[in-house]
Amino acid sequence: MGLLLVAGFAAAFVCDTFNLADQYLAQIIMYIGINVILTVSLNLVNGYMGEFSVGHAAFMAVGAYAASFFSVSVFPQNPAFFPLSLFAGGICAAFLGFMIAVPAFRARDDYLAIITLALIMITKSVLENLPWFGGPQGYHGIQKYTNLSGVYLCTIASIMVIRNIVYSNFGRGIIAVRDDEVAANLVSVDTKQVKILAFVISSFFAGIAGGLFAHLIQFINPRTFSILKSTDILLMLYLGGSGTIIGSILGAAIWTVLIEALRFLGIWRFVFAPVALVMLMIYRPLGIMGGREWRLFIPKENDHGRKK
Amino acid sequence: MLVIENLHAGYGPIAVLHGVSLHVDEGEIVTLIGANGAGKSTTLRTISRLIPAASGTILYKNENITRCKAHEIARRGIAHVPEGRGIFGNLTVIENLLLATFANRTRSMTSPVINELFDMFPLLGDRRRQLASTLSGGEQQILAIARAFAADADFFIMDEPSMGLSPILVKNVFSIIADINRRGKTILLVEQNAIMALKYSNRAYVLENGRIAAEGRSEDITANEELKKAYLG
Repeated sequence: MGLLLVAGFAAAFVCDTFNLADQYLAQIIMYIGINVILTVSLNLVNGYMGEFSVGHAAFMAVGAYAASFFSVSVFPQNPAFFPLSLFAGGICAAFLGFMIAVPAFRARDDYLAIITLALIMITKSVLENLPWFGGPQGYHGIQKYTNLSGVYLCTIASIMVIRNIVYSNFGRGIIAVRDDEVAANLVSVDTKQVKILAFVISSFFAGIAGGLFAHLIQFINPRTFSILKSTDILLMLYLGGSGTIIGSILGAAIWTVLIEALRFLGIWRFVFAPVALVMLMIYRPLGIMGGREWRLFIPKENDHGRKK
Repeated sequence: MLVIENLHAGYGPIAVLHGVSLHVDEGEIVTLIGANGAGKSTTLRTISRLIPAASGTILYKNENITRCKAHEIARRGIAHVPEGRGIFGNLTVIENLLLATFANRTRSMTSPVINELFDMFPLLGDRRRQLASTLSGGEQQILAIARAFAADADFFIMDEPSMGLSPILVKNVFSIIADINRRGKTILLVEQNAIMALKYSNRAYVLENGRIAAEGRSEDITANEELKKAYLG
């Protein structure tokens, strides 16, 4: 497996340096990677923890704007500083996540959806009205620093981090919160702390994805990060099946490709896609993976069951 | 070990406990009995701080724990096996047991510790890699008790451990409780099945409308004709 990952990186790196990949194809692959990061990180909160957050677009926006700000105005215009800008974007998103999580988790479950919904709107309005980020016209002058190998590394890293969290002691605490919060408290899980930390981690990765996204399309404006963006991420999550890593990956990949493949339908693809989703919910309500995890993601010493 | 003095508590504006005082000594099994709505479960929930106490004090090992948070109380070694078991269905049996030491850095769940648990609860050993939601009701109850035991708690609070179990399983669960007690654990029990609970416990308190109406050794409570008529049927 490790060898395969290295080979994947080598392939991405070679494609980058010698400009081998078809522009369009490379673009789609990078979109897939970014969407995988978004979906896997949302999965931590909406899937494993069983809360319902719709705020991922806002964290992505903060990550995108912050990373762009750092790469355009703070650091010298050099791709070598791009990882730092990305990281800074992630930290800003994580900080916003913390600011939201502390009050949001004082309230009970459904309020998180409302609070994060408000967050999207507030973030969008704030970005539209801050003059030094271009306001509604959008942020210009972002260099194209995102490449195949960068996206590859970030995607693999976020999958590995989330996967390791889910099967750690802390991850068991997250799943315990979903199953029975009161009982989780009774077995000494500080549920409030667990929820806030999981939410912050999830926001961080959304911020990273936002930074990658901004430096891929080189132009961002507040409208990009509306409720529709959050809806997209939620769709990818539930398409693949929440609560499994492989579900998030498949959901993100399939949805991204599907939307591209249906481009010939023009505006009608936005009719087709929801209909397809309704069909999926009827015939496979648990998503494509139906709650099953890919064996490779399950640690050997701690088999997640399913010896039915 | 546990001393409760003049405890008042309830749900929002509805007061349920009107000054409950009781104590549980080390190594004892103590039963709370009483009619539905007398405040048995409320007493247990107030001890583990699932609901806050309005007034009164709860001392555990001579420390005031009245204002501690629920997870802090669990970390002090009070294990509450809640009504309806509270097992985590999306985790495997073994993961449920691992969660017992979530915050306990001194006791790690090495394989000898886990194997010892499975020796004690052989039923769970066969199902260790199964999701807890696929267990039967009796197995889930045993898992909940095993999890409390795995946490290395000294004090067990058990809310209706026999609820929804067949008579043979009820016996099984009570023999497990007796076994845990023999291993030096102190137990505070609430049971609908009062006769069974009194048979296994040392002392009992009778709760009535949020107050202690009677207390005594379990044999005396069982022998008391008046109480028998009112609570034991």
